[in-house]
Amino acid sequence: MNKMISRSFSKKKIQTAGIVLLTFLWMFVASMSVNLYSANNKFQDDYFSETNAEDLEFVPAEGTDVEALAAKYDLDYEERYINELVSDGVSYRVISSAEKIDKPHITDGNSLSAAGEILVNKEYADKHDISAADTVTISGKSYKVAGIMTLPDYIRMHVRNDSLSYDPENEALIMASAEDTAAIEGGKLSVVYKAKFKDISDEKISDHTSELVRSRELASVTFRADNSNINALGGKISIYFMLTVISLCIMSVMIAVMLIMFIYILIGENKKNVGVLVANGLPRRKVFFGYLKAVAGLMLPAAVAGYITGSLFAPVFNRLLETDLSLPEMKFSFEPLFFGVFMWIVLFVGIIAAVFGTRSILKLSVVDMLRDTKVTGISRFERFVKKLTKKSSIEKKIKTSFAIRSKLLLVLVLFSVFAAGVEFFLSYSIYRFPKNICDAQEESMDFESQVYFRQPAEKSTEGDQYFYELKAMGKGKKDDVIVTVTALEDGALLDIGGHPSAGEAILNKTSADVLKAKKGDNIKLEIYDKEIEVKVAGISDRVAGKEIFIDHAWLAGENVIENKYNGMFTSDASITVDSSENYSSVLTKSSILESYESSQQVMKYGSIILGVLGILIPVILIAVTVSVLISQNKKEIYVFKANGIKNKIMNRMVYGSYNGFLLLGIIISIPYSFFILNLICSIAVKASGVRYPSDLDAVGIGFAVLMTFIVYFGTMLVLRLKHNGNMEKILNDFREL
Amino acid sequence: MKKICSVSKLNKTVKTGEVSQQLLKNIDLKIEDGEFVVIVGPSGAGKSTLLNILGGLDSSTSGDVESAGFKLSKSREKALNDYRRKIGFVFQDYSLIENLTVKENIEVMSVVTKKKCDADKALSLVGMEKQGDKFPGQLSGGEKQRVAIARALAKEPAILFCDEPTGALDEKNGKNVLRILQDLNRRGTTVIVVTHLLGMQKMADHVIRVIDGEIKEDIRNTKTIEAEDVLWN
Repeated sequence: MNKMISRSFSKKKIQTAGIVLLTFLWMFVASMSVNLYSANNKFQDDYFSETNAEDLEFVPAEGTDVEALAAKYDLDYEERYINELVSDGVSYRVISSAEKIDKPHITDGNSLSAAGEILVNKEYADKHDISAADTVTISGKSYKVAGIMTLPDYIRMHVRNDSLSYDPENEALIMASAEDTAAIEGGKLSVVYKAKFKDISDEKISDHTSELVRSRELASVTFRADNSNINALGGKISIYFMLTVISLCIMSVMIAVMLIMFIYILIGENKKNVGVLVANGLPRRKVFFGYLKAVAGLMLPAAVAGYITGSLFAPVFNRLLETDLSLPEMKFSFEPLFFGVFMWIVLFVGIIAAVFGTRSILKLSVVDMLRDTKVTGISRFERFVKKLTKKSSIEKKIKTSFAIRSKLLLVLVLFSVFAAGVEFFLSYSIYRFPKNICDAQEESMDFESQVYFRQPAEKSTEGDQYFYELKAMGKGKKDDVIVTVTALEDGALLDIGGHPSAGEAILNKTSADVLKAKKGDNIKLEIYDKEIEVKVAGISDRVAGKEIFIDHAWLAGENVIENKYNGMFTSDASITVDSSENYSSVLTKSSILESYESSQQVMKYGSIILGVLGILIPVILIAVTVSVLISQNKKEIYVFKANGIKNKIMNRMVYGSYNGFLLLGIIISIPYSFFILNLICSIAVKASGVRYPSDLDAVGIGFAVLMTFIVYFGTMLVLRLKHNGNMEKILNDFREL
Repeated sequence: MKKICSVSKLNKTVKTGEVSQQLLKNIDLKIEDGEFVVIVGPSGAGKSTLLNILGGLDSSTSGDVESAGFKLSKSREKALNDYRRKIGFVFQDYSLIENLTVKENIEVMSVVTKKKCDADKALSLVGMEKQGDKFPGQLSGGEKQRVAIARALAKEPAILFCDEPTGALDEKNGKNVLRILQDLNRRGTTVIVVTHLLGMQKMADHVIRVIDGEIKEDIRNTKTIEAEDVLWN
């Protein structure tokens, strides 16, 4: 019996090759995404655990007792001096050494052990060929380099070397003892506090967080969840997570459909032989297990090969991404994590379900098996379709009869086209994300420079637009969320579609999403200890953060803020950082845009993979389906050939039988794609705080439809070119019968 | 009488792995237009292979085959298709398309020949005019064979080839089919039948006996019997 089964496999070369290839491909993609996700996730966990990454960073308001504040909010904290200066054309940010929180990760050399020693950040050291034991001169004084470091609160630098205004050629991050930091001359010294919550419940952390946001005891506070520097890698990991979930979801459904079809047809076409064996006393369970063994024997090697290749390729892919992400060096590993186990479970369940799905054939009476009548009558479904096509031409009726002979094949073709449509639409939309984000951002920026300063200041530069940036708890139709409120001066260079009137607010789309607020709604904001209610006057396209814009003068009039400016100002001039000014950083318009676009580069890789899958999978499925269709209808095709049908007409009937379903598949795929796109975007908003545009793009639909047509008709054309040989084979098969 | 089919020094060899098998050996044959030809012989003698070559479904290894004005042995696929559109073929297992109705099964020939086929007329010739809306699964074996003949007739063929047309039928249904074939022949269609039914020899104008790939007998009857009188064994 085993020989009979294995020979029936070898007779179906295209189907067998298709299922092996698909299994390999599925395991390859799944294994690669799982490895990328888990390895980077593990790196992040290990790194943050080793360095004890902060939960929050704050600057206390004047007169605040930090110790009492820490006790009140269950905080462990560490004071940190920051001395910023320019020396020999290099901007130094010298940070006092960390013992407890945001500790440096030493990549070369040792930690600080004596006065006069410093640690230099890896990006600057690499650029200037500095290594441990070298000497660096800052502001005329020489320091010995004890080691090279990376810091968790500057992970964006490690994630992307040239990100957010960081220039490794001219900007250095230095860690020195507190005394050395304070003693460096010519710099601007400031103090910040790094803090971590003690071992308290999540509920308590949440309560403390919302109180700290509104506390007047703090001049500024940034939580880790809202710290884009720390969360930069997390954003990438969440994208890997999405890719993993998408690839597992799409491909596991595909492989299940494909498997069921494959086994069903194999057993279905072999039922006469099975009938002979059963009629001679072979137990049916042996037939069942015989097929199970054969299918598993075929798929498992392919799955193992795909799994190993995917795991091997993941570090290579990780390195390929390094142009965008300085990701950690990844080593080959098998990931027995949830997803790794999940894909094996899916595979085993798929194999068993596929064979179980064919029990209806194995349950047939022996007489029915031996009779081997593929079509004993006409099903209700066929009657229904025939009613629909009653007035069609006879050629169309034949095409339909070919197409609906097997519902399984029909489902497979519909699914192939549907999957192609979804994959191409998503691939296009995701590929466009970086550009769309950039376009939306660019539209909202009429300035050349965006300058952040530290303390509330009086207006000092005529013509520049000052903002007061502060944290608030916002409440719309959803739960409380932390949002960033910008007290906006009238006539700002930031284009948010107008200036909010008194008592009104303009929200960016991300904050509107998280607050479930729309134009005309009233939302409540708690800023410091004051609660205000504002009406949503408009929604802006700006993509950065969860932003709400309110008129500065109105907020000052309501005594929510002082009539000063804190946070940033924008200018239409190109401004460079000058340590004598009270600036913490300057972002140019181009650097912001470049950062946005390049930080989304991984999306492009993901969309390319999705696009390639959009081609490969439907091609395999369509080729297998058509080969099965020919095999199932070979008797009919033989009749046509024997009667002298022209190849052109025969081709048209065989390769055109599913054309009607092509359109149906595409039509279903568009709303589904849009639904998935929205889902992805909502996950992305939560993961990264950046709003991904998810509009139903006509060009995207056009692209998906065109590519699906190309894949479908291209596959049919290639199969068609093999037509004559194929048909002869069918004739030969028939003669052998 | 005009010659419609001629075969000269026809050989057919097939290779299965290393083993060659000669199915037909030096066949010489002439068939006149309007004849009722019966090819008989034991199983494996090469009857169906000969019929398939005459019908343009199979190719010869050597020799010349000419039928209905087509030189089949030298024809390419396109010319063979032209030939196949001019002849009719009836298969032992009927080969009807199960999910097309009886009438649609005949109308498909309009797709093949690219000319309008009168399905009703073809069905009335075989006495199946009232069964046009049924599906093949709802018909008996004899009825299916009559539909298969009607499908071949719809093409108005110059020659009708039948491979064991009564092979799966009982005497009553089988004789019905034979009567239809005889009527067609009397209207002028050349009918060539491969059969195991020895009784059919007496209703044929021309009997060819094939044994081991060779023609052992090629005789023409001067007197034939009616289909109803065929001895069924």
